[in-house]
Amino acid sequence: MTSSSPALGLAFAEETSIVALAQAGDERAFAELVHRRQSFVRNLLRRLSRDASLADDLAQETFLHAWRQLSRLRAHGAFGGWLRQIAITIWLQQIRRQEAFTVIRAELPTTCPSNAGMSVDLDTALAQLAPEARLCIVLSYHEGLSHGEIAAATGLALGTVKSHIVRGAARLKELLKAYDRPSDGS
Amino acid sequence: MMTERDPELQQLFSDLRRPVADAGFTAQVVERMQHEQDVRARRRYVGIAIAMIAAAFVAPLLFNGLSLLSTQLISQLGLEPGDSESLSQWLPALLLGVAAFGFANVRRLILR
Repeated sequence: MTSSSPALGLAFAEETSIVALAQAGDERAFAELVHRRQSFVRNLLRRLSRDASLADDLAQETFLHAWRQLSRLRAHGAFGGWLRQIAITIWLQQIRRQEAFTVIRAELPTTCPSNAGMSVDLDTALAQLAPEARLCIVLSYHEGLSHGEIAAATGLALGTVKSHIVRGAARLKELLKAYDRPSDGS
Repeated sequence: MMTERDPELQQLFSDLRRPVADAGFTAQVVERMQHEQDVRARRRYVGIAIAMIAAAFVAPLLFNGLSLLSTQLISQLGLEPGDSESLSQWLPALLLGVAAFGFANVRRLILR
């Protein structure tokens, strides 16, 4: 895995300055933002989508959307949160467009293969949650957002967010325990 | 606001948070950005060409119509013969300019 910065001069610059340059139409500056933020966006979408290649496609869409809408970003310091918001919207659009979660849920095995890694276990278990619950859980546990921040990011009511997180976490633990059982015996 | 999290789950999510970054991904995004810009530029040129062809056909008709409208306006204003002659020369052009300005703005709003 390589991770060279697209422009050496920009590599040490503050993100706010790079955002300002990108807003002025500097492609190299935006490439630097992609370089810096791709891990954040791709990890979030991988937890949400379960499928790494789909997550990467959605991450690309997220950055392209950000490039198109960058002139609308007022506070340069809020780029990270703004990008997360775009990623969430892109993922929700994908869910609504294809209703993929119903297909994924139907295809899921009831238990994981015994040699499956921790990531597969968690992602498989996450995929069994309803999209809104999955989103709340990922934003809380993966992104470390507070319930209030999740409510603001998703547009859900605070009570709904709390309920999704409490029930989702319980369901997730139940599923992960169920996956552990077959490997415990072997 | 205090947000309580299950420590076991929190640990599991933390263990999975590893950097996913490669130059290939950045290059793909940049390539798609450039492709999108090329397509947008091509669309803009085609739009301008169509607008110019349409204007070449529509402008004479519009100018005649506006001349007629100007004559009617001048007659309603009841101006002196000298004034009405000069007014009948530049009023259609002014109206055409206003129409072109309006069209350009509407087009810009549509393309945005």
